[in-house]
Amino acid sequence: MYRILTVACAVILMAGASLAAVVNLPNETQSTTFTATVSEQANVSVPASVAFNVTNVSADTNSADQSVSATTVVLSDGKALRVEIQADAANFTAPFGGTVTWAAGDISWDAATWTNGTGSANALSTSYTTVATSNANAASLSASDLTFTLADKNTVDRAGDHTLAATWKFSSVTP
Amino acid sequence: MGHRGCKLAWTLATMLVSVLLAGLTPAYAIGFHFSPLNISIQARPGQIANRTFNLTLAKDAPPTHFKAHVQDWWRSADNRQTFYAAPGSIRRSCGLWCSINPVEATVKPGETLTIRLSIRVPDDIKPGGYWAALTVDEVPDPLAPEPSGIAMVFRGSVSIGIFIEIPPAVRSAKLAGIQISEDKLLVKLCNDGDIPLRVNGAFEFYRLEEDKLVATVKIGGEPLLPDPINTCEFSVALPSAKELPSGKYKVRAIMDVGLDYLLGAEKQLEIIRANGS
Repeated sequence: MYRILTVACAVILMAGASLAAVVNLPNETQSTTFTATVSEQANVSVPASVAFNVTNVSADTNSADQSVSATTVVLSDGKALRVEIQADAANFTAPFGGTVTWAAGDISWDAATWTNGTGSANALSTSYTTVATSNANAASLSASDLTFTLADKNTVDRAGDHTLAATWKFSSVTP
Repeated sequence: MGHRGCKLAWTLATMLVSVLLAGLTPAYAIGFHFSPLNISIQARPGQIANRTFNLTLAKDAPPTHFKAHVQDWWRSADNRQTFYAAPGSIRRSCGLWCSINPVEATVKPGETLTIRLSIRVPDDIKPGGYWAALTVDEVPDPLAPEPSGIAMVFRGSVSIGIFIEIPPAVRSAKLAGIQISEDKLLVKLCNDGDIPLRVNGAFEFYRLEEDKLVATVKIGGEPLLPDPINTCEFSVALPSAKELPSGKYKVRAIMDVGLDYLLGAEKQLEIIRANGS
């Protein structure tokens, strides 16, 4: 009985093996494409204020070195990031009793040493004026030795707080 | 002076130096991340397009109030200044097509402000390029302590370009001049088409006697507008005096402004270094 069953199984297996054929699926290489859409972006940091320790109004006064940076800059191919600054008013605000103070144009800055960009020495005005422009496709733009200079003005007639608000602008207005 | 007196004097001096250093150390209170940096759309008359702009405040920043607005912008002829004005100030402004929401908001540290921009292109608009900027300004905190001494107080601002092309636009530009000024090479380009162009290029310096390439400098990523000032001067710092000493050179400018061809010019120039090297 066992012998008959064994022979029968062997016959069935052989028949199955001879009937088996490779069946091709419509698409054997199913794949998934992962796409990350990266937007242009930048992370920026600028000082909140700059102080001038004026001990002689007849001489120029330099600020301490200032740091400005743009990191994780991701741009479309061939584009650049620009850093500009604009005075919010034409003049400083003088302390109580003062009649003469500095004009915005009395502030200037040096070209500084920029990493991945070019600095421009300019004077402050009530229009946005270039401080630095990144190289095209730069991943960062930074300087840590940007110095502002307050020009001499020996007609200033009051000690105390002379302040001026200004705005840092980051832009990449390139088509 | 006894030991106690010396110690007191040393403590007072240390405190004074600390206070002075605290006053002189720059504070990094303005920091944020933003995206995107430009919005460029090819559209048809009557089309509506929606985009978003995100600004994330630094985690260590105080809560900050921001105000958004759409502005026209253009550059000075020497490319040193950017002017911003109310929408509709320039002929090819798309500022009046744009609406934004929200217009202002307070953002907490680490939080993101999302501004929705909706652009509706007029039905009767003519082909060409139109542009504006989405500006987001930090609004000064009226309760913030006043700075003491003689100081500049800063706030942050970001502007992203909005560019809309209504086909068929005319892309056309020409090289108007090359010159050396102090330690810079200046190239003047004119956009005589009707759409803003992106300027990239390279300057090759050849020693005149040897016709041998000695230095290359690149310029990149600058806009060249067709209006209201269609000529712009782009400058690039000359290579070091060691690399490019005083002498006569042939300068070859190769500019890519996104046309089907490159703009090129060649000119003989004399470079005179201040130290005579």
